[in-house]
Amino acid sequence: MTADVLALRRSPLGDPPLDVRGPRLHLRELAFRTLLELRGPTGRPAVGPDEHVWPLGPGWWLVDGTPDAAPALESPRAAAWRAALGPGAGVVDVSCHRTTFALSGPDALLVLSHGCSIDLERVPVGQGVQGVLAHAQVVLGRVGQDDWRIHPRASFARHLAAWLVDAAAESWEPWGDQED
Amino acid sequence: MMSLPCPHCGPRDETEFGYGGQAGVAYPARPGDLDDRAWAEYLFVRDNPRGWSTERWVHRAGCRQWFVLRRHTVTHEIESPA
Amino acid sequence: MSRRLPHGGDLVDRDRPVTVLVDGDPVAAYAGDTLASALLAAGRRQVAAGTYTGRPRGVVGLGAEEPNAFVQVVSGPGEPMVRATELEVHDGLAVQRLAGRGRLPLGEDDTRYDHRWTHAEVLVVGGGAAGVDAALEAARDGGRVVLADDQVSLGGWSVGALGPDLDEQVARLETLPNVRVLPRTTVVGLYDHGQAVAVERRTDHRPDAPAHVARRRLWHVRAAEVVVATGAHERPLVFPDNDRPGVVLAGAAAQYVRRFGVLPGERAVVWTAHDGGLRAALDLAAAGVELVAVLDVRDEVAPGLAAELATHGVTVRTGAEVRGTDAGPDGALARVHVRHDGTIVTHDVDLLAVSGGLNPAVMLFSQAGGRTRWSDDVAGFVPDVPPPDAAHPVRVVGAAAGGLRDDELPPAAWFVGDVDSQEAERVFLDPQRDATLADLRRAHGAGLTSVEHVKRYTTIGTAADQGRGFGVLTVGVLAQVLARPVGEVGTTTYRPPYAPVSFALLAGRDRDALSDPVRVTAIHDRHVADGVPFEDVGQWRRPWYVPHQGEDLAASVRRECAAVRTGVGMMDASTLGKIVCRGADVGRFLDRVYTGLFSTLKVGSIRYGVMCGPDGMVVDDGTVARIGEDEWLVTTTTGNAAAVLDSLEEWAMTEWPELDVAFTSVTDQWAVVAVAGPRSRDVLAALAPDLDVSNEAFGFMQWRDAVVGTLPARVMRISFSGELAYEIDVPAWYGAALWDAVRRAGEPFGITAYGTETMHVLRAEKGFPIVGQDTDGTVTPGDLGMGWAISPRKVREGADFVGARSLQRADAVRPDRRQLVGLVPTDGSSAIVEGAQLVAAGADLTDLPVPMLGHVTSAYDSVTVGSPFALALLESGRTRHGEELDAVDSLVPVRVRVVDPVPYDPEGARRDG
Ligand SMILES: [Zn+2]
Repeated sequence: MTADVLALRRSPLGDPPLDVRGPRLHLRELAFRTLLELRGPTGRPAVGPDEHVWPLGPGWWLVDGTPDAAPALESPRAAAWRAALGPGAGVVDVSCHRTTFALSGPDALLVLSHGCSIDLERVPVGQGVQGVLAHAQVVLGRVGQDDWRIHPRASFARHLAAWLVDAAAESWEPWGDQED
Repeated sequence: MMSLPCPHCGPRDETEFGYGGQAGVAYPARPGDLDDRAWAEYLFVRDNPRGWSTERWVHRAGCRQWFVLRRHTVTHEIESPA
Repeated sequence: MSRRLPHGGDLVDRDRPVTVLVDGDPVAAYAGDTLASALLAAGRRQVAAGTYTGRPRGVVGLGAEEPNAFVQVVSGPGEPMVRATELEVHDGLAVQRLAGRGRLPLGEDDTRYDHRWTHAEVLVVGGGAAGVDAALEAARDGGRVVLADDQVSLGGWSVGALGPDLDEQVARLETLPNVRVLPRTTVVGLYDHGQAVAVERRTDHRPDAPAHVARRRLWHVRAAEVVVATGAHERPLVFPDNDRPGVVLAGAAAQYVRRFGVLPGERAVVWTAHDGGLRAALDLAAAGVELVAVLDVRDEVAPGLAAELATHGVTVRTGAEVRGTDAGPDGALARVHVRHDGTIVTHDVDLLAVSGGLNPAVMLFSQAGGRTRWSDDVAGFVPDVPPPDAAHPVRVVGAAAGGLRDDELPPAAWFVGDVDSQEAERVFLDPQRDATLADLRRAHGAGLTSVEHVKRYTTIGTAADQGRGFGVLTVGVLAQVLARPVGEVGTTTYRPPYAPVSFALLAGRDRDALSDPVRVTAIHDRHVADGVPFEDVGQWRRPWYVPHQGEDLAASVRRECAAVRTGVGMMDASTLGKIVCRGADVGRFLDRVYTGLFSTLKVGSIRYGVMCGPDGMVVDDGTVARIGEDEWLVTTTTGNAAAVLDSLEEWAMTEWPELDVAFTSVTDQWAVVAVAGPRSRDVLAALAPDLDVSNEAFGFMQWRDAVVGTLPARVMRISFSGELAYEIDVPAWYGAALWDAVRRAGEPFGITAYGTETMHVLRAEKGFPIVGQDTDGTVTPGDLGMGWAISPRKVREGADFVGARSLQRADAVRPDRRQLVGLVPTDGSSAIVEGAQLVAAGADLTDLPVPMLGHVTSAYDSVTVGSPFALALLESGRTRHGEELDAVDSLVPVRVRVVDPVPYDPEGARRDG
């Protein structure tokens, strides 16, 4: 039953899944991750492996967690966070409100610089920012030197995917001197 | 394109922000006590200086926080408020 | 006749011959040539013609200061008015010479252009000796440095002078990891807070580049500090008939010899006002140009330079002046008339090399707000007061600052000699505009004394060179006419862009589908599969109507409306704005921002709310559902979702920070299917057998969590059509599955998909206004007949809410305010047009002004009403029911009757099914 229902899910990009690879870049959607907005904690909340926390504002965090195993109106992990954070804190399930793109490879920063005015070179690994990429509001997280997570709102996901694939034209098919 | 110093996110391009007009115009504690003239003053009347202006901005595409800064309306010099 | 020297020219690669087409004729060149050097090498002296005079014109300068040599590029995507001095040659390049203006190439330019953003601690503009030096210095502490240079390779024009040292510095710079060198990149604007915009020419010179490589790139550089090392532009000297092909800037002539191995002439007169011009004469002599005369306006000659020139057999004539020129049969320079010691001598020459001095290139400094002053030492305008924003310094170095000079004697500030009025018609101060000294004198005669006014009166300095070539010279000439010091006259204002930027480049990749994000719902693919026409609502793409085979909009909407009124319909309502409000004080907060009372709302219930601005005018409406003790869900109109969230946060953060409230947009979290119509309860019952859907258990304005089909869902019983209706919300991943499930379950009941048009008709028939369509920022809740939405308890207790005070102003309670009414055509059939003005019935539309009583805000053909039906805002509307008016669009009146804005089911009997 659970599996049948889970099989009905569609990521914002629909089918087929986004997974494009070039010599210097890899772009893919990580569908169905559990995304939660936390309000209250002043320090960075701790998460498990393959999970990330990005600061959205003062006392405001986005947790990018692994997918849930069962369908639910609200991820059970929201309740778990509420219990862990105690009264006064707020948790909102935004798993479907945003999606997750992984953009990695030596050209990742270059591709982002085609449509983002933020000084991303200066964002340390493990840090994230909220801002505008390709005319869409996004959360950007740097999980490695050349490895980024992009969380656009679901309704913008197809625009952003199309924009990223196009922005990376010279990375899919390098020509001439490689730039940085 | 101005670059505005968000107190939480650092400098960002102006297009990430919203302008909130003159700072320090508080919503009256008891609007019902104000006569029409005083209420209209609150609603509509603002300074329009040629020079330093203390004003509110919101980092709309970022941390969504409101903050106050001083901006010179001719030179666009920017100072955080004292 | 080739003018290419057998050797020399460090910029050209003689092993790589290139052929370009000029007006269809092949011209031989080498890689590294500009079109100007190629034309000079080919002995083609005339390269353009005066816009208005048609006079022959040739290459004058070396780069951006060139006023004459514009061509139309006709190869590749084509480009109008490109300077031959800045056009890099390559095989396949084809150009046409221009007489004046170029032409925008017709047809779409599908070449790729893109943008990039980058940040630096220091941006250096200009890759000559001073720029390279500044970049090395800036890079020393590891900060990021961007060096933008508009030439093919770094080094500027002083390579010969500085030699191997500079080459070595350039090589070092290019190895530094923290330095980004951008050749072929022109900084066109310097803006606030260290922002520079630059154009990089990436593949103009590479016709073999594949189509996916961006031809040009617009850089947006944000730098903590900007170093302007843009060098100087050579200034001409003017005299009658100064515009003939063969009159060339002396420094440029020397560079054509040195850098391109091209001889711009064989027999020359050189005329100068500074040592640089004499050094150019030396270079020309050394290259084999026969110097028949070297003239200097100054009374004294630097002894060192005089001695060097003497070794070439040249004596400098001081205090000398060119008085005019003659053309040969080809229209190019043939003779120069020189006055020296009171006598006129005529020389047969093919080159007149002139140099009036060097203008520091202060344009970017000025754009950034820096002020210049006249310097007698430099005989030019130099940077004086830096831009006021000390937090983002702009520093000028090298020749742009008036430096890098090794003059023996000071230059002369010499502009124009004694010229009579006839001759003045042929002293060209802006060759591209064909504007002359006579024009300038006429401007003065008309009483103009400001350089800005003279510029606009004469058009001098308004052509593509923006005064780079002749601007300062003109200022000097004007100063002479006004008998005032040059510094007092001052320059015109330099504004960006420094060089033309094409619209295609400004647009970059923001074209077609990528020009503005298109937002789609989780159910979008189903609509696409159904082939529905879409309507753009802000950035959202929504199904407009859902036609059967062969149906048009009107037929489809009639059928869709009938289905909802008599059976059941379904639509994708996912785009409604949704905001979670969380915190202990949300109830109190909502009482303050909505006109109604919300703190009393019970968990499980929903209330309709109207939101006003502080001015009392309606800004949005929607529903509020209480999800838990501390959690509420606010819905907004599709178009207002962002604005409402902004407003809620602003009130909470800036006025009432003591309240425990926080907001999260969840618009995209939920996919929503509205199921509306008298059979909607049957459909829901079939979908959710475990949910008690009876009116008693699940009343109007309540919500319940349920399993719908197999999906986790939240069902809201709300209605925007007046019919029994539900909105089913599921996590958006399940949106398409929900759509399928509703459609399957509704099949036995004849469920009909409908779009935004039907939604609008249905709501209009119930008199539900749409904020932003039926309101325009001047409409109070009372004007909409929604006084009921203002909580009587709040009014009774004197509780404030946003807008309350404004609603008490005399203007807000005037009885003759425009109020929402319904309209029907008196003939029962004429269409009423949205936006039509309402005037008295039979008003004479030619007797202006016709008093306007209101306007139509929404209009539809309504099957339910039995005729066209409109909503309108009408003065004193509520007291005019039954009156007849004319609704006028494009001078065509339609007679209408004012009716109640709720023509359908005014008692609300249908909402419970
Ligand atoms: Zn911020």
